[in-house]
Amino acid sequence: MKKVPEVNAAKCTYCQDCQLACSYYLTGRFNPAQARIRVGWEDGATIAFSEDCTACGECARACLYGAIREEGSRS
Amino acid sequence: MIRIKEVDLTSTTVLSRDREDKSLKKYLGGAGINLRLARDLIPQGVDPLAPENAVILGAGSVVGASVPGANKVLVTTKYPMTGTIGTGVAGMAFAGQMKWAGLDHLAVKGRSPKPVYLLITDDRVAICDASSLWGRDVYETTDFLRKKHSPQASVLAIGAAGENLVSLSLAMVDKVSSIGKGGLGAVLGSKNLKAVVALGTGGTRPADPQGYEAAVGPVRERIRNFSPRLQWVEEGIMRKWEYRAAGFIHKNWTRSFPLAEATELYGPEVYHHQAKKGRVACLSCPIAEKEILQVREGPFAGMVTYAGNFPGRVGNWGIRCGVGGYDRVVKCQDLANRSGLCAHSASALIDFALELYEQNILTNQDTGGLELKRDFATVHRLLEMIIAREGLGEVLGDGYQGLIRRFGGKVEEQAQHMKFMDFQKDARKTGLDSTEFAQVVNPRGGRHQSGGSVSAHRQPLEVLKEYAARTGVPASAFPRIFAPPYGFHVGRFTAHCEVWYSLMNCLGICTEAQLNQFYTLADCARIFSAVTGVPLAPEEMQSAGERVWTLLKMLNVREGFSRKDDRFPECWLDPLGNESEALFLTDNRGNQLGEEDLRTLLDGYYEEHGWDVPQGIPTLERLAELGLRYVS
Repeated sequence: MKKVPEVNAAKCTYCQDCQLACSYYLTGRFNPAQARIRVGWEDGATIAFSEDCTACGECARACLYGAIREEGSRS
Repeated sequence: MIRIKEVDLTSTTVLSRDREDKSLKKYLGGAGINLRLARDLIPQGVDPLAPENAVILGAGSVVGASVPGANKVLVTTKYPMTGTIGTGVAGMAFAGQMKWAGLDHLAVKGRSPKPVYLLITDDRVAICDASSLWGRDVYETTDFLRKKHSPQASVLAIGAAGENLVSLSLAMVDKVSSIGKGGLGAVLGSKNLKAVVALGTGGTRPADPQGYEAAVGPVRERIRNFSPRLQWVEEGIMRKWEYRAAGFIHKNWTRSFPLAEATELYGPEVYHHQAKKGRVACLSCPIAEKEILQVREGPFAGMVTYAGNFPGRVGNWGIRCGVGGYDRVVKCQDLANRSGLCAHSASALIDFALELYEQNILTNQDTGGLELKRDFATVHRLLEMIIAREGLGEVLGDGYQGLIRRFGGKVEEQAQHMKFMDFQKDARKTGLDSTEFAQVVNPRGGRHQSGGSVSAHRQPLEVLKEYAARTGVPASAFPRIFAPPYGFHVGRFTAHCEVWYSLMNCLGICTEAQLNQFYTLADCARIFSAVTGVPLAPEEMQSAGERVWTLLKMLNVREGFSRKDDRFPECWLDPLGNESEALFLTDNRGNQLGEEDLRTLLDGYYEEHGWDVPQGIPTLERLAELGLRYVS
C-alpha cells in the first residue's frame, strides 16, 4: 500500500504548480516534463500520478485550489 | 545570459543572438528586452506587413519558476491597425514552455515563400512546413500541433483573419488567451507564419534557491491566506459583473446600456445556467481567470469555446451588436477565437457600421445590398465578411483607418478611436481614472491596461495612496499627485502606473488586479534577483521600468507620434445618453471636466515622466538620465 495524495479533479484549474513543485523537489529544476504528476484540462480536468510517485506531498502543498490533499492512500 | 534566437524566414536561417546579463539589469527581460531588440530589428517607417517588420516574442524573466501569476509571453511588433509599435501580452503556458526549452526571446523577420510554423524545443528553433495547416482555424491548428508534438506543447496560432491580413486580427495562445490586438495575426500572416509551438523539457532553476524561497514564499502565503480568493475562483469571472456591466455602452458611444436590463439578459445567474462550463488557469495563476463556455440549448447546443474577461465579450456581442442570448454571444466569440479576430475591435467596428447605416450615412449600395440590423444573422455575416475581406468586410477589416479612407466626411467625424484603435473604457461613465486616461496616452493605441486597475470606479484617496506606495511611487511624487485643484491628478498618477505595468511586463507577472494586489515593488526586486541571479534594488527596478516605458515611447516618436496623437475622443466632451439623466465627463471625484482640464492633466502626465510638455515626448536630458541617448 502506497500513500498517494487524494485528488478532487473538479477543483483543478491546470495552473501546473503541482508539476512544478514535484519536479523542483525531485530534480532541483522547475520542469513539468520530469514531474511524477500530470494534469490536463481540455477533455475535463485530470490529475494522474506516475508509478514512481514517492507520495512526498509536495504537489499537495503547492496546490492553492484544494484539488490535491495529502491524506490519501491507495494500493 | 539572455538566450535569444533570431529567425529569418526569407533565408530560412536561425541564429543565436545571446546577450549578457547587463542588458537584463537595464531592461529586466520580457517586454524590456523585446523593445531593445525592436529598436534594432524594426526599421523606422517600415510597412507593418512588409518582410522587414520583425515580430519579437519574449518570456517574462521570472516565468516558469512557480512564481504566482508569472506566465506572460510578450510580443512586440509594428501593428497595421495603428502604425504604432507595441507589445501584446498573453498567458497560458507558452512563456513557461519557452523558458523550459532554454529560450528567453525569439525574433522573427522576413517572409517564408510557403506556410510554415516554428518549433521551439530544447535550445533549438526549427522552421517546419505548415502547408496543410493554412486555412485551418486556430482550434484545429492547435489540436493538430499538440497531437503531432506533445499534448503538453503550447501553441500560438493565427486563423483566417491573420492569413487574410485583416487589421482586426490577433493570435491565440492555447486557444484561450488572445494576444496582439491591432493586427498581430496579419503581421504573422504576411510572413506565412501560421503558428509557433513551444515545448521544453530542460526546465529552469532559480539562480539563488535560498533567496527564491525567501522572496516567493511570503507572496504565496499572502495569497493562501487571502480568504475571498477561493470564492472568487468559484464565482469565476462573473464576480466582476457589476463593474463591467456598469460600463456597457452601445450605439457608437452615444448610449449607456441600463445595468438592470443587462443583468436580466446576461447576469451571473443567467450565465451559470446558459454558458458556464468551467475555468482554466494560466501557468502558476492562483485566480483562474479564463472561462470555458458551453452552449446549453438551441442550434449551437454543445458548442465549447473559451474566453478571458467574458463580461467584456457580453458587452461586445450582446450589448453593442445586439446578437441576442448567450447561445449567440458564445457563437460569435467562437468564430472570433477560431479566426483569430479581436472581439473588441470587430464588435466596435460593427457597432459603428450599424450606427452609420441607421443614420443613412452607409446605404445598401455601400453594403453590397446587405440590410444591416442589430441581430445575430447580420453580425455573424459581417464577421464572416471581415474575416474573408469580402465586400464591406474588407473596409471594416482595416479598422477606423479603412472606414475613413473609404467614406471620409461624416464617417470620420463620428469615428471614436485612439490612434485609430478602438478603446474599452468611457470616462463619462466611470469618471476619468487612470485606466481611462491611460488609453489616451498609450503609445500603442487605446489600451487601458497600463493605467493599473485600482483606481477604477472612484476609489477613496486612501486606497489610491496605498496602491501608489505598494507599487513604488516615490514619496516625493505624492504631493504632486494628491494635490489641488483635483485632489487626485490622474495624469501624474497614470505616469507611475505605466512604470509599474512596464516592469511587470518585463518580469512576466500578470497585471490583473486580483493577482497583482499581492505584489510590492520590493517583492518584485527580490524575486527578480533570486530567479535571474542579477541583483537589483527596488529603486533600480523602478528606474528600469521607467526606462522601458520611455523606450516604448521613443520607438513611436521615431515613427512620428507625439502629443498631437494623444487625443481624447471627441465623444467624451458630449453628454452620454443614459436612462434618466445625461452623463458628463468628470474626474474620479465627480467634478465635471472640460477641454482646459484635459490639457492640464496631459501637461502633468508628460511632466511627471520628465518629458517635454508641449511636444509630449522625452527630452534629450531625460533620455540621457535613463541611458537611452542611443534612441534619440
